Amino acid sequence: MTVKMTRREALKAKAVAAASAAAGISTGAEAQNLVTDREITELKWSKAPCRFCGTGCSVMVGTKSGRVVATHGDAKAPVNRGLNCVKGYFLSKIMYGGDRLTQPLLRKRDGEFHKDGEFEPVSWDEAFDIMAEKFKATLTEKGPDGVGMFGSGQWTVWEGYAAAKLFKAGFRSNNIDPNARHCMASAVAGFMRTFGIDEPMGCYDDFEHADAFVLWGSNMAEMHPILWTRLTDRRLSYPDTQVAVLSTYEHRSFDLADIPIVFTPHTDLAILNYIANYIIQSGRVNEEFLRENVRFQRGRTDIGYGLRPDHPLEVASVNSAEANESDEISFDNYAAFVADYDVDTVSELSGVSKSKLEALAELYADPDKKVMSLWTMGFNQHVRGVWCNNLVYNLHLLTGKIATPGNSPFSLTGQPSACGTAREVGTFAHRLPADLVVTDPEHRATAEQIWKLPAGTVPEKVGAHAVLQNRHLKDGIINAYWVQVNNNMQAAPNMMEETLPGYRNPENFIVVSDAYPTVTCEAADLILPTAMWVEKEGAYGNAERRTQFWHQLVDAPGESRSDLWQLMEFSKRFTTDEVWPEEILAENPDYRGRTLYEVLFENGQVNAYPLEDIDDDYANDEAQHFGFYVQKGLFEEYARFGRDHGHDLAPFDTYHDVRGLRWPVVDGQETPWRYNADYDPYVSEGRKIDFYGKPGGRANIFELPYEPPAEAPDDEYPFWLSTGRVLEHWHSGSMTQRVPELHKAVPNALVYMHPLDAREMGFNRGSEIRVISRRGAIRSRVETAGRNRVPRGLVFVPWFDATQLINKVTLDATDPISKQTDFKKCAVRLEAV
Amino acid sequence: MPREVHIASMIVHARPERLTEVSRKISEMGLEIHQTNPDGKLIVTQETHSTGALGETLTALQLLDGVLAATMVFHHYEPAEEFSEASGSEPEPREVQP
Repeated sequence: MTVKMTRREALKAKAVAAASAAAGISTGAEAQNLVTDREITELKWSKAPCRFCGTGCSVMVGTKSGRVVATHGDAKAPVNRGLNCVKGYFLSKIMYGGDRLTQPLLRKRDGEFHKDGEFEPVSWDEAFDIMAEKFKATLTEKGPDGVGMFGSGQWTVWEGYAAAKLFKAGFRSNNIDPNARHCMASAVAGFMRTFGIDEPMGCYDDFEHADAFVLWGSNMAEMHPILWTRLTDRRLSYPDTQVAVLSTYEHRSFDLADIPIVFTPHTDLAILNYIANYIIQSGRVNEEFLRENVRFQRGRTDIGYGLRPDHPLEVASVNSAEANESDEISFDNYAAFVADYDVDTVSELSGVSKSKLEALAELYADPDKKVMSLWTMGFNQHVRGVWCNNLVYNLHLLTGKIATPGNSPFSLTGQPSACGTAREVGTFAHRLPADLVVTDPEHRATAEQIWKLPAGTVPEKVGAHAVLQNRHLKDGIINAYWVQVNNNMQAAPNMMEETLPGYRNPENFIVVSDAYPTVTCEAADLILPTAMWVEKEGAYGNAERRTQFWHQLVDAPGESRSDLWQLMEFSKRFTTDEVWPEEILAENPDYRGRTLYEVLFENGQVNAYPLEDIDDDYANDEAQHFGFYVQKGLFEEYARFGRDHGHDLAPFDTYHDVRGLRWPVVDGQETPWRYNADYDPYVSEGRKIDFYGKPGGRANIFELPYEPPAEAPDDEYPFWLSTGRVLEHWHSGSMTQRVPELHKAVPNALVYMHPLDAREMGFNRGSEIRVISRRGAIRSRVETAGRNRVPRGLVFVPWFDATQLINKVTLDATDPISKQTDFKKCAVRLEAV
Repeated sequence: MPREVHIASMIVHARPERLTEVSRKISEMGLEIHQTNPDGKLIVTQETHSTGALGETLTALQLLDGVLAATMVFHHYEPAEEFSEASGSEPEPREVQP
């Protein structure tokens, strides 16, 4: 048979073939022909991980004449198996928005920098001149505490590593933190307290092994669509599978829920303890597992809310200074403690029926059911977020349902490299690479030795975390500040009282690197245009410990440069004499008079790999500029921290060939399930399970109570406010068409509220209203229908709309352990406009 | 004349018992259904002129009653002038051997 095809038909057939293959539906002969179609195969196809969330889908990117023109899900990728979610369609367009920043912009008046001037284009030289002048003046006057940086889980691995190294070793300041603080910090602290090593023990393969899925405050259907597809496939292919969905309002994921649960905000703490109590009371504790693998800890209680120290709630709290401490107790102590969380008490507190609570608890208790627990911001953005993480691990540890296929407490991530970069390379204010911390003298010594730097270079003092950085900017403690790859003006809480006054404080110089003019750029003094995604060579690490690489596929527009180029080039502007103290230089005279670029990046390690090592098929602008294979040098130096220490990464070149590998990668083998002798080479001889991050290989079960939230509805502010995302925000044009205006509140997104609450307030659907808290207000419109169905007494407002900055309203209460903000609850009142 | 041509394919996963109803709604949206299977999966394509329109469609699909998940697989776009068959820049249709 011969078929005549136009190019349009051929492309469509190709699209159908790709989709059929991904769906596991057999393809017709029509489609199979296309493999040989020259017109289609003339595109150059390369792999790259998607940059929109933490799932880590691999995408095939088609380029033609220096532009990205096509994408499709990567059929060879174990994560997404040829699929690509609703966000994926943006990949090919995101780099080509009309308002892309292409040259540095400095606020000027009469030809000079002026804090209240207008943005004018400047050269990179002029940009770095003023920036270096401001950083040097601050370092001279205030020392390392006066400079700071805010980064991102969208940094590539080597960008985050270079940034951490420049600040922690170069400027000798730990005032660097990633926006992952808003997202993952509670998960990190939860891992460290329970297991002593960050990141999940399981992996996405658990989706195909589990008998029950429990979503704790995660709307996977809208936020993690590819993983949701895997969960849906499992649920429909194996009808005995059960899905429980818990949230403070009903959302799209409830469509698949066998056990749908809407609970009163903050009572998840009590529900978790109730389930533990149910497991114990019903005699389903896995005693052998406990005997060998677990110890019990009583955590400190009454730990405050991470507010400013003079806030009445902080003054009243007893243990805020030692929030992370705990004492060992016995199983019997623990069992007696959770006994108070009986079904009547918890049903009353949470508003969840007893039958639903029992059905949920039975999923965990039933020894024949493999359970996967999944969570994101519902747990993490919580003033007791670390506790929530600890408490869900308790359930898996009590039953031994952990680290085996299908038994998996799984902390999902929101950003493409929240794990691979923000967490693993040490960009948090207290961290160094591979879970090391700045407060441990041995850890600092390790870092100094690997970095070939004098002893004492890395400071001991924990730097300012995200929320504290904004407070320090407002208070004039940090004066020179650099933001890369994130929109913290919009993302950080309590914008009007903390963030904006901090950025516009006349004492401060604020630099923002971005590809597009965000609200954060608008609040800056200097804007640096940034190369993004496949305009540079990169690496991300996803939520299942999978490290993935990509090549530079196209050139960045105009004068935009990658964050890596910016960091390394800026480091040339400083000498050790200017930024290091005399005592270090006196003891190490070889380091005198050298640039930070020389001591950090021309150290014989980072510059060890020649340009010839770069794949001939791809450009590499940074390597060409600096004269060596920078990405390889940085990665190999970084990898020294983790090899033989449970964080082993494969050799650099391997990652360009494979669809990612899950660390630890030992002898070329990745590790799907950690702590399990069948899969993990780090497990001690003779043990089946070994939580080797903790002494004796024993994980901690924590005794932690329900404590009230920082703010709850009262007569004056009678509604709960919860914030989050909705699906549309990924493609409403906000990524490409944003020209935000800070002071105009144009109603655009919606306030989801219960129809009866709306009627009582005299609002109609579509009414314009004001949402008011003790801190600020926004204008928006009422929505009483739609898929987000909130219970009475609660309103939900999405936070991703630059024209309706809900963080004028939110409270900057944080988890006292993780310092992560609770964006999920505060009290508001509503008024008609 | 539109400036761009976008061709995309999607997999829609409907509850199997609601496949007929979902198929009808998708057809009413002006989309082309190429294949379905008894598990409730449909292969759908859309040809359109803007990223925004594609996004709207994907959202609408994902939020359709009876739909559990909608994912994209393939997305191609390029300037319309390079693509237009009427403009004469398109090569002659080629013989494709099965």
